[in-house]
Amino acid sequence: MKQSVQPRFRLFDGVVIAAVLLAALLLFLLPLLYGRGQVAVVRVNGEEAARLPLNEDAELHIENNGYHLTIAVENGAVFVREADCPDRVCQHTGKISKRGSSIVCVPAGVTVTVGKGGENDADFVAG
Amino acid sequence: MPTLSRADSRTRRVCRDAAFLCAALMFSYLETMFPLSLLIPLPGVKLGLANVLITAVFFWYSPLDAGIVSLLRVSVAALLFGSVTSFFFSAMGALCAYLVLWLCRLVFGRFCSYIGVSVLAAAAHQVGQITAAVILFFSAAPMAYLPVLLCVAVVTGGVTGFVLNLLAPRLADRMKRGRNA
Repeated sequence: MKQSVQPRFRLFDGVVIAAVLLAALLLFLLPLLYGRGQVAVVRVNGEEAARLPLNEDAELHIENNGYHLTIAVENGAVFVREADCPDRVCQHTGKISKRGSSIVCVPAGVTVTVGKGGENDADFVAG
Repeated sequence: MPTLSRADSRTRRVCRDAAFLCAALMFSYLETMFPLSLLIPLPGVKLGLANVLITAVFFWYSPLDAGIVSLLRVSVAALLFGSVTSFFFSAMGALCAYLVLWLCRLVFGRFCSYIGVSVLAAAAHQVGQITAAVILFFSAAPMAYLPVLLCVAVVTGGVTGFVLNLLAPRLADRMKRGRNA
């Protein structure tokens, strides 16, 4: 049987790599087109747990799946101040304030998404 | 060469798949010794050594067997090192990657080498994992990680593809011959 895939680098490999990188770039740039958000929606296990307006400083403690998170709002940005989950990706994500940007903590099942404010934007996320 | 009865060849197939599964699990274990996630602190960032084996089985042995080995690997790895959640993540990733392998075999394979195939499969794997996260969280928030994960996929897929390109002339024909024995 003839081997259909050739085992040496060909032009199309470069095309595939470029296409994937381009997709990554586009997905990265998309949220930057949106302006600042007004509210941070905190969800635990997919259910909305709290809405923190970004114009006032606040702090919120969450306990879920045996992990503790401290979510804080400061100077119009929301971030995870402290977390005791294993990888602490949520903490490393840092401050977010753009509409559609988000922080995710997989072990604790918590997401924080910046929304525009108002009622029906909970499901609006670009990314 | 002595001819084999159907029962004989079936037994051989089971044994070969079991051997492939063991090798895949060994690669999964090896990966935990080089935690790439220390470099890039995101869940789901792995070198994907086991994917070298899955792809090799897919193209040089039998696509169906590759699917079986992949599914079993994900299940056993979840039992050994993971949880129900991690199983769901890996299973979605593996399923997407498997579908892309079929796409490559039927359409793209003619135009590219194993590097293109692996990069595409790795990207599909990440998309699958993000899809799992989106389903799990009922929120599109995890999609924010997709750009980073896609860049990682280019690197890890590139590495596995490079390895496959090196292996192809040495291993492909042997595995194909083994298929008919």
